[in-house]
Amino acid sequence: MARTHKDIFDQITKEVQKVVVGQDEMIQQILISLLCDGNALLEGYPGLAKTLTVNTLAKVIDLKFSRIQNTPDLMPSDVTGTYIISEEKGRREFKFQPGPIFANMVLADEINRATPKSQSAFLEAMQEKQVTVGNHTYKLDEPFFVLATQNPIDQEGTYPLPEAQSDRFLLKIKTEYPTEEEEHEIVKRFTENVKLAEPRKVLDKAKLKHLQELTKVMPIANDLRKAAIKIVIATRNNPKLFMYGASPRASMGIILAAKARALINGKNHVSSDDIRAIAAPVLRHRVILSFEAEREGLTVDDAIKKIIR
Amino acid sequence: MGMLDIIKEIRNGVYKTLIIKAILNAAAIYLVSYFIFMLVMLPAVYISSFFAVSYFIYEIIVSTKKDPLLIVEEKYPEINEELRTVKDNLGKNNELMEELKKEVTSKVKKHVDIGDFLDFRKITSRVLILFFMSFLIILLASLNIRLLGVDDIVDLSKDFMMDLGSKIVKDADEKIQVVLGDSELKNRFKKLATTVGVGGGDTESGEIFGESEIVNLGDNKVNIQIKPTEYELSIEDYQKPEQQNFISKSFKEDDVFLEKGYALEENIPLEKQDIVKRYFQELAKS
Repeated sequence: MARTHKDIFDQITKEVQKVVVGQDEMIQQILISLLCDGNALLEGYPGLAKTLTVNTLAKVIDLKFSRIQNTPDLMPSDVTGTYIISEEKGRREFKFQPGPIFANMVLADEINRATPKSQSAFLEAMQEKQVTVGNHTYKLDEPFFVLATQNPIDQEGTYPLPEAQSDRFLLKIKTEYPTEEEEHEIVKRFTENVKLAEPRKVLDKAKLKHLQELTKVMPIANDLRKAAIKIVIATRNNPKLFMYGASPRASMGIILAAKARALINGKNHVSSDDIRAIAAPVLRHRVILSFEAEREGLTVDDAIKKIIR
Repeated sequence: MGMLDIIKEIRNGVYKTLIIKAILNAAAIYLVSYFIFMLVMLPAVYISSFFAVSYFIYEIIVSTKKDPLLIVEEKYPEINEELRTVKDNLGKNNELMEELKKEVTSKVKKHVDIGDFLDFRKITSRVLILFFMSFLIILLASLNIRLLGVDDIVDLSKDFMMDLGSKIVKDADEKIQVVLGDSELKNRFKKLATTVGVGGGDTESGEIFGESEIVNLGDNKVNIQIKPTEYELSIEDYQKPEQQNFISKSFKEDDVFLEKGYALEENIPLEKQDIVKRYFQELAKS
């Protein structure tokens, strides 16, 4: 059974890699956040196929996809939708025109370029899976994910995500530069007159929902659960490394993401490797490094590795 | 066999091996400590028993603190974390859990053998130690070998203190003799000897150190030792009592003597003896 699930995820990765070269880790972590019914923040330098990966993934999984390009002049109504006057049978009335947030998979490109007011338009959607416009609250279709991207350079004119909002993202996925061989393949694939194979659909909504349910029932040993919680608590009790630690939402995130990782890898139980592998993506956007750690030249990932050890 | 039974069986097996290990270790500790305390003449049985029992309890407490399933998982990496996961999620029923149960059951049947938890090299070494120590204890007991007893240490300390006391008194005597006359010295020494408890003080012989035998023997104990290995008695091994011929010339005259016989002598006044005599005669007639 677990093998069958692994085959599905291998197939998804294979289809995405028809377009995207490498980035196995990023693809796996996006799948983890889909299985956990969570949102993900993709951070990496421009040109590392963040947007392309999310775009391709939406095609492979039969989901309604929409893209919101964040800019400083983006208005919340551009995200959520707004009331427009419509005329029917000579009668004018306000009608709600849903915004791009009304999709299953929303790519919020360069989210840190939007103003805090517009960023906050995503908050309710991400957490409550609903949107309130005027006096009305509209439920979003399930499954619903926000995959936001941001780049760590060129910070001028950007609005860093507030802590409350970044806590809503289950994972912060770091995209790395490709290896030399991968870069050769990228250049070859996109500079020659080669017709790219169209990725085919592997998963539908119903199957995805079933996999999400399986993720939740993935068995985990009590001591592994305790170990995961201890990691999160360690971020709060370690003033030499962290100025602010992670919230209990991080504990839930580590357990759930570890379960999803186990399912993707074709296992029928969570192992300590799953917890170790997923701790950094879950914690890195939820903690703030202490001055001492920064002075020592530690990155957030280094500090997390220290407490996992 | 259900998963619960398998877990119970594994747990019981691990506990049994832990108890066997603890017993062997405690027995080794008992014999080694018995050997040491026997050499220094301490009550070896009680002290060694205390050590062995304490160690046994300690080892059992420490080893039972660790989950036996964790011990099994450490031994067999094939079921690492799986056994614990199954145990913690026994009540849950879903397709993943059912699959995990089946997988763990087959792996346990294939790999786990409780006999693997008994390290035969360690057990052999412990048994050899037990044999060797038992042999050594019997050998030393039969030869009655001992290093130094506690009584000896006490006696040695006493002797040392006495020698030290005598030396101090002698030194004081020499110094005082230079300053004072002989009679004055005697009076002072009498007081000193009485206070310290050294020497005889004022005696019949008038000697300042008293009777030399008393000074030499003092309160020293007379050690009489009976060899523990020579206590066997046989009822067939007897001899007739030795006949002593007191008339024989082999006895010296000084050896046989009579002090006085008082046993049959009764102190009845002369005037009453006749009445007593008649009383007994009447008694005999009746």
